[in-house]
Amino acid sequence: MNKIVKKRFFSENVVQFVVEAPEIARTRKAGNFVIIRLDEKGERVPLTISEADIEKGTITIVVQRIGVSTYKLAALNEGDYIHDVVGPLGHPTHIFKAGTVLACGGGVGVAPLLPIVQAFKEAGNRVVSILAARNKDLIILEDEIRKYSDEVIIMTDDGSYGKKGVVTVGMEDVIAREKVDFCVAIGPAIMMKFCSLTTQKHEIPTVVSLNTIMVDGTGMCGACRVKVDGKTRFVCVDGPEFDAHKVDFNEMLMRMGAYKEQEKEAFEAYKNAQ
Amino acid sequence: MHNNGSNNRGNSQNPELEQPRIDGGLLDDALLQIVGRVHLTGEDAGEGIFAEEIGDIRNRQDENNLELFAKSKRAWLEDADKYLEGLYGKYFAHGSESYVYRKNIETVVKTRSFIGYDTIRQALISIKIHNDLFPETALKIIAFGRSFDEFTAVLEQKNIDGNFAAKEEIEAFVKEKFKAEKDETVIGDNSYKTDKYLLQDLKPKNVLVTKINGKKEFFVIDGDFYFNFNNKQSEKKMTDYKAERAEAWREELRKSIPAKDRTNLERVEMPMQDAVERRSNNLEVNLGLTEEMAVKESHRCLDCANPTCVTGCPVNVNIPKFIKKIEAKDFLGAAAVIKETSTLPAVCGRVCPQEKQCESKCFYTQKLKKPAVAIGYLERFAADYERESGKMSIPECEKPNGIKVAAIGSGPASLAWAADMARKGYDVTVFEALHEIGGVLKYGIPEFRLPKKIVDVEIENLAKMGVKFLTNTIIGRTITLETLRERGFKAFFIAAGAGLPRFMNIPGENANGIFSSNEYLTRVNLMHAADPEYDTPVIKGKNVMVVGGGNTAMDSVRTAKRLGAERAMIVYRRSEDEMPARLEEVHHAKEEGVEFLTLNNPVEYLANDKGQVQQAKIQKMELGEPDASGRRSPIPVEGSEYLVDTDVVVVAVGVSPNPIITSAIEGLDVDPKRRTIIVNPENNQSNISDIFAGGDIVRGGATVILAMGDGRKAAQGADEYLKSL
Repeated sequence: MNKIVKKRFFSENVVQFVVEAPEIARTRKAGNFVIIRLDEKGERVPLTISEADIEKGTITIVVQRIGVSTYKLAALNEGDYIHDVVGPLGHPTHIFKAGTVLACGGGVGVAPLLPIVQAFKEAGNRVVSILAARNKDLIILEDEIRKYSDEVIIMTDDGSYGKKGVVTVGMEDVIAREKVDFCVAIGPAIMMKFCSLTTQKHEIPTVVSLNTIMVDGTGMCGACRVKVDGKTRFVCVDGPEFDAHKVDFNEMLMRMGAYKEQEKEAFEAYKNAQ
Repeated sequence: MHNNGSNNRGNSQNPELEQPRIDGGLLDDALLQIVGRVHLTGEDAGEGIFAEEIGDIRNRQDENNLELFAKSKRAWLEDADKYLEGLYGKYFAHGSESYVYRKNIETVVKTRSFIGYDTIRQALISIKIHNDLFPETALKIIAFGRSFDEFTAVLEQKNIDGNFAAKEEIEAFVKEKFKAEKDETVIGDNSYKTDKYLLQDLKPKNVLVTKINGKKEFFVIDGDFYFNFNNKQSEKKMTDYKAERAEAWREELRKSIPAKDRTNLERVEMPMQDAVERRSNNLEVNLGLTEEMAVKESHRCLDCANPTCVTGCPVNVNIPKFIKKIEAKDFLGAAAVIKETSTLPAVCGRVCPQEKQCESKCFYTQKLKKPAVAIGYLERFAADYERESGKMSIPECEKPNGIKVAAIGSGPASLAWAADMARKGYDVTVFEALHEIGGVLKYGIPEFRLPKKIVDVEIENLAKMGVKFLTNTIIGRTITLETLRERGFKAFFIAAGAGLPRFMNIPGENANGIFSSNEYLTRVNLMHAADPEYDTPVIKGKNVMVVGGGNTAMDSVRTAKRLGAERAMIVYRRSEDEMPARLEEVHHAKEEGVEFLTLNNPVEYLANDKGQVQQAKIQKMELGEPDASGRRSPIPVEGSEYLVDTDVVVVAVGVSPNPIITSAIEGLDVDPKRRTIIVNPENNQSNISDIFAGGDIVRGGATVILAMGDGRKAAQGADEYLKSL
């Protein structure tokens, strides 16, 4: 049982939780994720750790309401408990001095991007961050990202904040004006796919952090399998970060839709019960 | 290594023994060179076959086929260490050694094997069994081992304190340290002393009794033949069984019913849920014996003077004693007897492959060619009786010694280890990565085969003994082993299981609707996906295909049936005879309407535009030449592919050890290929002295009972290690 010590709404659908998890706070590194289970009947949901406080023994997670579990989670309040939190899972991000790092975050993907931006900055890189979302309300953690970035570019689909356009427009701008040595992209699968295509064109090494369906998160089930460089890999133990240019995004997108119908049904039932 | 083609197959050490014709007499010796041997280790105690089975393989190879045989085994031959386990060794007793012939084959096979306690023990048991029934075979087995002129050359292992060592090393070691005790005694362990051939024919040149790691060790050094075994407290000596058998109450029972009347009784049938009814529920299929049935079945047991059944049990449960307790209607007493050696009798009574273990060694099976005494059913009966009586005994624990020890993983190996360590007074914590305790007993084995409440009772009992359980804790991630050391933990038992599913890597395998058996069973068992109250989903298929022939495949396909599959199929590439699943599971599956597509193998999956699997392309197989396991190997029939409609596929073709813990511990000896932790088979200690390991992370995929046996052995080892500090 892990206590929620702080809750903050970034927008109607995006919520940040600070959760007690002292052991995880101590051992987590940038790029790691946790699996949570809300209650005894809950499913196991992977969520990337965005921040941790060793002294307070807490970790920070950000969640976007999209289905039953995330709605239920978002409905919890400070003082409530999450039944299970396990982690840190996955390999941490390989942090190194690359030169100029382009960090692209889409929507709620900015949360896991934050510790990576921080780590690359601390490793002596120039970090240019692009935060992209559908509209202004969905841009999150801007101040925190700014703290560790040399420059922050905001992109919104509707132009309600920053520049109008998708993330790749911002990427092309940066790549056109300066030499980018390394790129990190985290966000919805489709966004990562296009980030990857963009950097592939310019031959910029890129990693993406994949957010596939998982059950145990420890390599046991294989639900999270993706094809990378033609080989089947498990996101939970082999990833979650992979060489973007080798990921089979189409297969991944297809696999992420495996439970679409059940999810829709469950969500409707949930909404009706509210 | 000097196994590069010695021509000498003669038995120079022992000319008086006729060397068995391991080539079956079909081969011209002059044409052949032995270039190496392969050590085969079964995943269980094997079938009690040793030299004969090897001979059998040879017999099936005529000269024309020899080259083919060797060529078809190329993958096997080229496998770096030639150390085969599991599948291949399944039908061999532990410790069988196989020749690899050389004939017009360029590959010079380098072999390596080890002679471990299990190996020798199995060999000796095998000798012993044959000694009574087929003395000539016993003689052959001995001769078989002795005929290896390269036998010791393959002992390349480095760990002198364990029982791996090269001949020279052992000799040097022995010379240096144990000179004084040389020739002291003859094979000290009486449990093996009845084998007259062993003593008489081995004529050991040197038998040493010595102490290694504080334990008494026996080395028998006889030319090329090295035996090293010791007295294990956990394993009763045959002499003890005899003494107990001589007790008055046992004698009286034996006399009460003539043996002939006993053998005329029919084996009891397990009452079970109706096959149609049970397809729509998740309740246990087997209902258990009634008291009356159990007592009646106990009458069949002849209380043999030489209880071979015990040798078939990996933890050597005192089978005749507990069965006779049932006959005497002392059911609690029966449970207590089982618990002397087994930690989880209610579980083992349900999931052990008895027909390959104790029951295969029963007098009825071996000599009378009748159905064995239903040892498994009786074990379950005694354990259930005890649990339901409300008088479940909590084992007495020694005074707490305050020494903290940790088990990593909470499956059967860990539970057994924790129980033994708690009994010895240690402060035990069990760390589990998932949110529930029990490991494979919870996520893997379905409710209809092993009700979870039975596992929970066992866990509660451990908690009553003072064992602490910590879920959601991944050692190596949440907490490192080093941190645990800093926090005062003095010994560790790693039993994290074989939690990495294997796929077949065929086209389309990543389509939606295709699961590993681990995922499918975890969703249904651990996450309760079939229960609408729970959030985790599972795809319920109409046409469910399960690939594989093991217990996990049976569990998956029967689960599918219960989730409403109209057609539930097993697709297995060999024939039914070769299926590794428990016989009972296969029967139950058939009763429940599962189709068996044997000699079939999927080669591709076809999906619709949403990525959902629609069909499987299946290739027919036929049985070819026997492979290393002695089973005829499946060969694809060209052009035989056909399509089967399927919307859920469960791939149950095996698992590999989970890499998280092994990769997190620097310097831990791990088999580079199998990713298993390498341990000393004597005490399950790894190369890092405070780390012990057991279960599937060592074996790579075995059974509950073997895992439990490992836990017990490792507890003994850890206790000795901690006391030596």
